[in-house]
Amino acid sequence: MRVTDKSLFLNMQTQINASRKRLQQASIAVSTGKKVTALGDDPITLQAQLKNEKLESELEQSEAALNKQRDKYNVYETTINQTYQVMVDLQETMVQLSNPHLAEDVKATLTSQLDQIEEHLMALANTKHDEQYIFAGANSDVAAYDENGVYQGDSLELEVEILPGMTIKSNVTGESIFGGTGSTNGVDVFNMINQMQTMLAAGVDPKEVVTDHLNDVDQIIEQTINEQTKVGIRLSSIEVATSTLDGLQLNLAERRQNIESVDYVTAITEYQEQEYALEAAMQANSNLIKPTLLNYLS
Amino acid sequence: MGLNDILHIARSGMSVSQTAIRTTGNNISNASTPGYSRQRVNIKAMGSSGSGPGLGAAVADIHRVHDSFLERQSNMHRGSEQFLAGQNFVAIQLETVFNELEDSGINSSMNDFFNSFKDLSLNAASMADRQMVVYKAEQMANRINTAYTNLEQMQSDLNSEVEAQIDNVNALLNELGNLNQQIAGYNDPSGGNETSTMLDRRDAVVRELHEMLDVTSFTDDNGSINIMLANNTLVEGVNAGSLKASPGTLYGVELTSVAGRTIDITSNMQSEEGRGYLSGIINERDVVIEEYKADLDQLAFTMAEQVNLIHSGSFALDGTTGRNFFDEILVVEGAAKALTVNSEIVDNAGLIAAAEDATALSGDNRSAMAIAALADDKSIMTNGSFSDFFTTLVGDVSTHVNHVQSEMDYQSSVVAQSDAYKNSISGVSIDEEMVNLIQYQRSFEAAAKMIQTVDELLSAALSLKS
Repeated sequence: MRVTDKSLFLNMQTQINASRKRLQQASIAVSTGKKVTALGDDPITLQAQLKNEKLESELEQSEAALNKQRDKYNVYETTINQTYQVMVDLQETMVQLSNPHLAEDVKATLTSQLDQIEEHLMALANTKHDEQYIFAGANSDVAAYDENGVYQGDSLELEVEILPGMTIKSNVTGESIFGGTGSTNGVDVFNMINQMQTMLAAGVDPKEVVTDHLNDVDQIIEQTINEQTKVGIRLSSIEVATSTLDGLQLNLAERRQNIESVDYVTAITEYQEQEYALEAAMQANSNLIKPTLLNYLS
Repeated sequence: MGLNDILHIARSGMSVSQTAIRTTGNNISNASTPGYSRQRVNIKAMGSSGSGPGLGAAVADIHRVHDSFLERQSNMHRGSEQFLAGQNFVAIQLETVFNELEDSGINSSMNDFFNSFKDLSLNAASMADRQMVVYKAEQMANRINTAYTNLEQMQSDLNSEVEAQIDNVNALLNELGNLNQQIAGYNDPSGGNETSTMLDRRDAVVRELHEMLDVTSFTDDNGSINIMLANNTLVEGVNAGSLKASPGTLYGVELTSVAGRTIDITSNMQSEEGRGYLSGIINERDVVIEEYKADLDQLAFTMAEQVNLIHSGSFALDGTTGRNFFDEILVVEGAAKALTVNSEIVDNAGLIAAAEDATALSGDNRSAMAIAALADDKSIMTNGSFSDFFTTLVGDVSTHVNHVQSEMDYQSSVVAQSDAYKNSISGVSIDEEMVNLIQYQRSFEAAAKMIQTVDELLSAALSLKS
């Protein structure tokens, strides 16, 4: 084949251009640390990257959801623990009231204690978290119990997602602890206290009053313990989910690294290789175009 | 034979050398002129009528060194390369429309949108979370709208490009007709510098036409180059037809043949297997971009339909129901542009219907959960979830861009190869020309020496007398 000046120069251009392009790609890989920097680079990696992106944002959301649920259940735990204490106080007060030799002034004190306990329980039952009444079921923008101790909420136990595809119940209804008009089994604590107060005010023998209701208060304490256990179980599933989430996030980070990031040793080696290649192409081509017959003609 | 005859022979040698040197000079000067084919002087010996030595040398012709087979091959490869170049011109813009590598893409906004509903489900009464849902929904709708309008904008920009390229083609068609005429005017198509230049120019025009359109070219019996496009004659001898951009949302192409017949060749130009830059951009505009637009439409339509289906059956904070979350979209076509959040909801985020039950309003998060769950509904689109569908779409774009670019790299190397072949025949080698120059210079000097010698001989002959 004849070698002409133009083909010589064209070749040189093509080779150096191609070499420069490869060097540029290698340098982009080194400077960004990423395998894919343009949409057309690698369709497979790109799609894997988009799928990861979805998972990542889901896990981020899960993290927020878990934190919120943990906060909420911590409030439930504290509130129900306190409720339990108050219920035990109620039981003690009732036991004292059942003493047959009760002085009038002590009886008066105990009766007023009943009032305080009722108030205290009411405050606990109407606990708010995040602007919502936590014991009101789904009806969470109204107080769970009105001033007469009548349940205003509903019996819905709602669910939230805490991990992709994993849900937990997000609330404890007031009626399952304090009871209420809607509750089919279980005792309504406010109703019970009200009844006792009415009977005491009517001059019924306190012993009789208490005996009528001792079983009820046992039942109420049991209700509270049941819900306490439920909250404990949910809190521990939140903890399990949290550690699962940590694992998932770690996995994802690793996968991301594998899919998206360049291996620097390979990338830098590639870069140097391309640098040498370009220099070699320039050297070879400049040597190729130097000799011309013109140099020897005088 | 007299001494004078020898003088004439020497003179013919000088004159031939002179022409050869002139041709060499022309070659050297045009060593880097694009499309230039080197010229070679064919020298013939002039014979005598009788036995005896010949009558010197003469220039037989000045020949353009050219291989029309290689030219045709090269044109074909260039057509393929330019088709890809046209596609690539569009493809690199597609890369910016589907900018999914940053966090500002449609994919991440869809994730954010569904996650905002999950956030809302944690506290369905929270106005802050409701505002966030509106914000994320608007953001997603905006990004889908923008991608779609960008695609439309690209199509309308390409319309102007098509128009400009058609003007270009028409100029070339006319020039080819003129060149055919001028070249036919010379009796000897391969002789003389003038024709050679015109032949080179005509090859360049034909090459440009191949680069632009999927044309076929052939040389007829009169030496004219004729052009066919989509089975219609565009140039025949001195007559040239023309192309015209026909108006519309997507400009079509109308061909008026030499015979005066006008036909619409748009569908020929849309082919995926086409040649030429114009075919490349028309294929992208009418097939590739349209397909992506249709996918975006499908995504937006189903998104609005499915979210609305749940939302309109659910209850807002104020207990009202039957409200769409996205403005209702009736037809799939153009849905991506029509995707907007219901303005009532934008004005009052309390109207987001998160509750399934009208009696349990503020805390009921079940509809919010149901909408959030759409994100993972694998049966919602033809090939999976919204995210799966969009990921596939981006994958398609990416594969397309990748394919166009690597094919173009390949075709460029094929073109470079065929150019190298063509160059090895038609290109100028300075070294070779130098050798020729020396050769012709020596011939010239030798012929001059002849004249000097004959002169001396004549002097000697004349001195006999004195």
